[in-house]
Amino acid sequence: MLTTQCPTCDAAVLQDDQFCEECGTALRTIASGCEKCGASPDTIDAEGFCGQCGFRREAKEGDRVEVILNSCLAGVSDRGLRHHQNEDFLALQTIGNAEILIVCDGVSSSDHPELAAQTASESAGLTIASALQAKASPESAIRSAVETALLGVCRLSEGQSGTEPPSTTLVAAVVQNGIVTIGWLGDSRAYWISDSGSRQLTHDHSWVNDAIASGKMTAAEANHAPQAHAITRWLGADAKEDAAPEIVQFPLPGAGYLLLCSDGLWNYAPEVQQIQELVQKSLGMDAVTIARSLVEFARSRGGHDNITVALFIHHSLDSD
Amino acid sequence: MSTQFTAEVFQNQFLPQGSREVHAIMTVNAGNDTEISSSALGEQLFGIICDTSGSMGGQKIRSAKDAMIKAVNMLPEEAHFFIVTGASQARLVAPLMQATPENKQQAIFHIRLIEASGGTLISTWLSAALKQFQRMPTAIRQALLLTDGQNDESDEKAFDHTLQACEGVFQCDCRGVGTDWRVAQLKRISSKLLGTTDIIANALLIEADFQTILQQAMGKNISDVSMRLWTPQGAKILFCKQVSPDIVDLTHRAKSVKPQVVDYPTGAWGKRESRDYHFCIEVNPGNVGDEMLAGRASLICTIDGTETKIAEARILAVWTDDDAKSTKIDRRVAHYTGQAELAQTIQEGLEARNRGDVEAATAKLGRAVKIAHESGNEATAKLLKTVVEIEDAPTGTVRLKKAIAKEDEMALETRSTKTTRIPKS
Repeated sequence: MLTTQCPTCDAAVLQDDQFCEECGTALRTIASGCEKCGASPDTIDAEGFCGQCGFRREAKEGDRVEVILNSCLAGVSDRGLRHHQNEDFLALQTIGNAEILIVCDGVSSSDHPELAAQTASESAGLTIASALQAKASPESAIRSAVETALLGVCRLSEGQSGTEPPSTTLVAAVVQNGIVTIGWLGDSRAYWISDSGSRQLTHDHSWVNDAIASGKMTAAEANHAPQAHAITRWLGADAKEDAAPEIVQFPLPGAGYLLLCSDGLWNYAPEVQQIQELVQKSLGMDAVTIARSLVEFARSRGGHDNITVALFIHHSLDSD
Repeated sequence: MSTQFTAEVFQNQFLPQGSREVHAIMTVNAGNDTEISSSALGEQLFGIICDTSGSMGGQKIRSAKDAMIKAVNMLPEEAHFFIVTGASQARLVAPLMQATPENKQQAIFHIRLIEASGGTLISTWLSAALKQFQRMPTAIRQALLLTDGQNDESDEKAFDHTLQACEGVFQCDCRGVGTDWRVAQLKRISSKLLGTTDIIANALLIEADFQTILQQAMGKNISDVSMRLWTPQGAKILFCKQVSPDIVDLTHRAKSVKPQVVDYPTGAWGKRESRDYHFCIEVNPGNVGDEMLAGRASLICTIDGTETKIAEARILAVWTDDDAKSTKIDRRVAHYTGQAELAQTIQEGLEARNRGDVEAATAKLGRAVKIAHESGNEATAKLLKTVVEIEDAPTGTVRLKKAIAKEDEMALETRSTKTTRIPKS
């Protein structure tokens, strides 16, 4: 069996490995062309149609993914109704006394956004887990996870001459000792939902927020601009310099829900109050049931985008 | 900057297992705020080609001269024009010039001097017009050809050759005045040169007709638009037809651009113009569950020297084992399939009638009455009434009229390719 070295930590890896087992760097590259006629990958258009034989790539298994770690930690990622494939991805993990939640939303205008999202979430998840095991703080675990994820995403397009390298948003949360640490790039969000006060924990790296923050436009004006939803930060080879995540910490004030989601959900419920009402409809249910109901809500509203929801139910410090 | 074209495809993409034939109707709309032309200046060149053979003498030539004078006066000052008259040979009555007041006066002076005499050698007229059009290759180039007779048989070879040379250089609408001309002959010109053919039975109506044509020509603002069709490897384009506002089979006009890609010329477009196309593509069949891009149709034109895609739509194929899905025929596909059959049936009916085969003619024209009735094509239904007595339109029960005015028969023959659009539901 051929072995080679991990580009990040120099550990030996097998040719077929998808990730470095030492540091979590993703090793896969875009290779698959047309399954029907064998045309090269660059003949496949953004919708998955082959420019040679016309056949579309088989719909992927990732159209709908449910991850259930336990009754308190679960997530659902769904293709929605309009997009041909699911370009979102999520990763969940528990390590010792910590919960890890990650949601990525591949940037549709880039090449292979679905691989960018999958690579970033899996690689970030593995890296955070191994950093926490090595007693790193949640913040530094998230920072190094984003670095590792970036390398993996950049690697996807290595040697390709495409002009839009694979890109994705990322929001990662680590819950440890009653504190949640969140790092993000782009417009995938984290919310704290609780009877005693819900809040959005992240703020989107989006054109609309930049415009309002700079004072050049009112919120109403900016929201109507055609580029309102464009994101200003992401994970991708064309944004390496700007790929440091923004980090916030939030002590969980009591029982409640930590919710991470892609814009496929929050576009239909932009205010935190709306999200809270949706979650409260499923009071007492387990995490996956609530996540499913949120995804169903977005689909019932039109499901224009991929929808991903990751949910952690926090009972309270004492019950941990 | 870019013209607001939109393209939309209507089809039932679901095919039963093993099926290879994909049908789709594409509707193309030019927006109403289109103010650009493929030429930098948006120049327009209008050429009049008028028959002055001996048979035109009398009322016909007087009406034609009046109509030409009115048309020249109507031309906007920025436009360019020329006038060719033709008999056994062509004469350049007014060479290419801008439509300034002085130039118009000069042209009108020469129009008044026109007299009718000689034979009919249409190839010489076309070739004289061709030379003028070649002088303004980027303008919107439209000709109007008026004749009352048949081309001389000796001209057959030259005619073919010249028509070939004119293709793509200018567009030409043809008008036959009276009933001594041949529909098939003028249709050959108008279909090759992306124009229309129609009858002007009464010479006094030439003027009104010229004005309509000129107005339409001056409304065009983007020229040399091509329909580009990409198909998968191994696919075969069984046909490509314009089906609205009238039926024009484009299949044999395909020009190969590169493997899997052909262009069909569609000529110039005006504001708010809308046309429908019917594609039929034979593809390699997929397995149940497979999805295929069976065609990608786009409109292409050259803007400021750059080939530009101005609209695009996709034709899909999805194989399914669900009969409920695959047996449905898209209503637009069905409608235009019916309109094509209507035009075809009328042609066959008239041919049978001319052969004296009353039985076949009655059956064909009866069938045509039924289709026209079902599809709401009232214009064609009205034309059919001039050649048959309709007993019951829904069943297509008709009797051939004994005496038919020649002009009615020719009107039916020339206009039977006009289609209606499907009523909105």
